Amino acid sequence: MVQLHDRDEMEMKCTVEEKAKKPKFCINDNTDVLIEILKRVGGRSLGVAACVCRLWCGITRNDSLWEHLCFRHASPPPDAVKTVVLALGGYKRLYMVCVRPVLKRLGRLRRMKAKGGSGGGESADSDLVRRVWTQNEVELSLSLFCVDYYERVLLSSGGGGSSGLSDGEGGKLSGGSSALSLMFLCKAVNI
Amino acid sequence: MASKGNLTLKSCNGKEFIVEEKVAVMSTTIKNMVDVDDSFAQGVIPIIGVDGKILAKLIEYCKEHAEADEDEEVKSEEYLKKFDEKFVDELNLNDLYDLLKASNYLEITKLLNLLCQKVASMIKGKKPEEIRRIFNIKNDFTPEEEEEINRQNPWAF
Repeated sequence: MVQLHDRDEMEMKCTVEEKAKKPKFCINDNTDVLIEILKRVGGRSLGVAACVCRLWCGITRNDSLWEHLCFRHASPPPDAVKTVVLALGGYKRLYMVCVRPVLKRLGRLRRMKAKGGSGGGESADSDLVRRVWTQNEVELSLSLFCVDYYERVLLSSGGGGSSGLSDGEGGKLSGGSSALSLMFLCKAVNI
Repeated sequence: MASKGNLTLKSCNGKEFIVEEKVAVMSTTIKNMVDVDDSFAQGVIPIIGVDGKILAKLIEYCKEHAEADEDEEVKSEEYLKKFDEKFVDELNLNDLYDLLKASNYLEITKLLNLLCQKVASMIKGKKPEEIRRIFNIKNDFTPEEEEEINRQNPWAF
């Protein structure tokens, strides 16, 4: 009887402690899960996530998240591509200067169509992205990425020396700007 | 004692659940335990760090999905989608955390996917300050660091 009573008391204490402890449980306690979560947000949200705290900032620096983002609408290209992308500046840059502008333009195209037509809504958007953003577009973005690298690194190192490469890269990346030849991707043109 | 084909799962606060093996082995962790050591299949499997309430939720989810895997006629894809939506919508933040932790530990991939997707949808379209508030995260940047990091990601705002 006494034992039973003790156990009841212990259980009660346990639940009280649990209640007090629970709000303190933080999503940051489990980095594996957090990475899985951040894999599922879009590019813009990943940028916001970087500003939340140091841990999130560190995770968003991980290029594999951006790799996932670049290829989530298409089957991933062969492994050899990875080496090339990393050598040319990494997946975050690939996303920022090639994939994002292209997806943005697809979005604009959709909005214009929706204005003219009956308005497809959210599912039409992802349908369009999926249909257009195929393996060919992955290859296109990789080609654009090569152009970007050529102008950014090879041409500029001819003029200004290559010592400032890493600094310049950080600055350019942060602005989301790209090589001159790729500006057409960002500027509005009559489509 | 569980009858043949059933397993007994015991939560960390002592609640026991008898479930069909096909339901329990939706968890890769449990599947490995049962595969490696036959005595688990007869005895009680302790589920460390998962309380009765959360374990009941996990079993509810696994049951629906195990049955759907077995017979698509009874539980169609459409039905499962609706079930999943309702399942995550009814969770409060604490349960969501606990289920995330548990499904990660028990390697219930489908559920982990679903829950991560749910949390991701809570992040989308929010400002850093809102995200910190929702998930109770402390801003541990120095003012200089914060300024720098905001400068690096202006396109996100």
